Amino acid sequence: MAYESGITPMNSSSSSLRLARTFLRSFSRIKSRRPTTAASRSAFELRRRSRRIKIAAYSSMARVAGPQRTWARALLFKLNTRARHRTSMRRRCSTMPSAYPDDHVGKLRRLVPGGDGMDVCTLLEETADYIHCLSAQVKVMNAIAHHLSKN
Amino acid sequence: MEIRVGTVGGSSPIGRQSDDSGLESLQFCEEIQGLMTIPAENASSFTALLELPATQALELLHSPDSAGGATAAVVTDDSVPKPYFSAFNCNLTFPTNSALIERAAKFSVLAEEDSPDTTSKVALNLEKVKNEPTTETDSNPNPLQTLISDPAVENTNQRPTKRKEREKKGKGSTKKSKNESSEAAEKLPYIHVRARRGQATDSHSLAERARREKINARMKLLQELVPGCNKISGTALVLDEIINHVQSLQRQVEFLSMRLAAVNPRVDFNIDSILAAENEPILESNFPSMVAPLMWPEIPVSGTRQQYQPQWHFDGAVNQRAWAMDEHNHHNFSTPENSLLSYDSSANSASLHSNQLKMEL
Repeated sequence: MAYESGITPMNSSSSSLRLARTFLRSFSRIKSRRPTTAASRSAFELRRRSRRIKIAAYSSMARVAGPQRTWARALLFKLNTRARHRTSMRRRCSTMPSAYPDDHVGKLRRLVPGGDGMDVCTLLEETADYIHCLSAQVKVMNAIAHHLSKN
Repeated sequence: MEIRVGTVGGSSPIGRQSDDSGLESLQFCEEIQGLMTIPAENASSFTALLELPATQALELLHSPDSAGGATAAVVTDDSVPKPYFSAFNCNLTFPTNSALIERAAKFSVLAEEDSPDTTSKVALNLEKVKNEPTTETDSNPNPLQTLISDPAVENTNQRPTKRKEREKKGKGSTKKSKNESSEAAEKLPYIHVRARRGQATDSHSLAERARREKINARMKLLQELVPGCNKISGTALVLDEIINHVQSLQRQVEFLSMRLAAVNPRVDFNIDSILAAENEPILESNFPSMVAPLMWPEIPVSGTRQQYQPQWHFDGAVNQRAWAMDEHNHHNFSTPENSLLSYDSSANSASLHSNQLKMEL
């Protein structure tokens, strides 16, 4: 059972290194794709780029977490499908009513990707791993932002 | 009475020990199988019991603490749905439920189609009974009340409603299951059916307890993970805190991606320094005792870094970072991304930096 081994948080050193590397690779790709012109300063361009960076952050997180994690699989699937048909997804999401109850567990289900089908045990476990990965990602991004703004 | 004990105890021990008073279809299956597999004396005694006139057999089958006449009258009635019903109701109350059910099933079969050899048909009817009970008890528990006026039985009348509640509640939350098991524990001692059910809920509650412990362990882990969550007690509050933490982290990611997008995109100039300096805090936090490379302190300062770069690149870097990076750094040289980076670097020291980038990536 993959979940049983997952109670202990992942090997933090190697995984955050891998996370940093994965994210930086995609980040540098995004950054290098945009030439420094006046057009890229526009708000639209900014928003687009920030969304792209966000997707890169999440997908690098999911890739580092590995396919045995439910949230990672769900996140990658969501990102892939959303990138492909973004507009239709948005339209559908706006009309779709929320299927979850409004208690704590329902809220958590909505927050953790792929949390709809899980039982509570698995949900909590996935939440723990998700929080771990998210905080590592935030740390990495913070460091990058700090050093970019410093230089 | 003797016959009852002999038949039921012999033919279906599961029905005796079991607890769930006929709602669990599993036990029926097992009982049927037991009846089918045990051919000789039990079955014959059972059939001998079935040979008796209906009221007499029922009185034999009946436990003394309930109103026998009413149920017997109902069972001897020839209409088809009623025997099911009465059988099911008796099933709620009496220990001899399996025999009674089969009896009632047989009656209905006989009423319908006059065929005496009925083991398969009994099984069929039991299947029917099996499928029906939830709807019947839930939709109209009134006949139960009208038929039987025993106090112990009337207590069981609460069960359909409670069961409905449980079905409404769903499996999700821990608190409710706790309530339910405590309710079952309360009602356990003084009703016979309860006691039998209590054993069933015992195995269920064992599983339930294991599940709760598992959930508690997860919660404890999450509490350690979420800062400032240790002092809070109570599942709801902890979950609230966890939710807030996840939300804040997601918002932070969003904000940081905006910030990174807004930052001056001169990536080619300083991404190497980011890479180097970015790995630094992680390394510091995770390997406090490990040997940090000698030139780490100089890296973030880009002015001093440039002096070190050739040396870095050619002798130091590979060996120093080999412990931290895996192999795919090295096949990174051939990825198109690197060519993209070197292509995009329009700076004066482009080649040097892209080389450095290759090393880092």
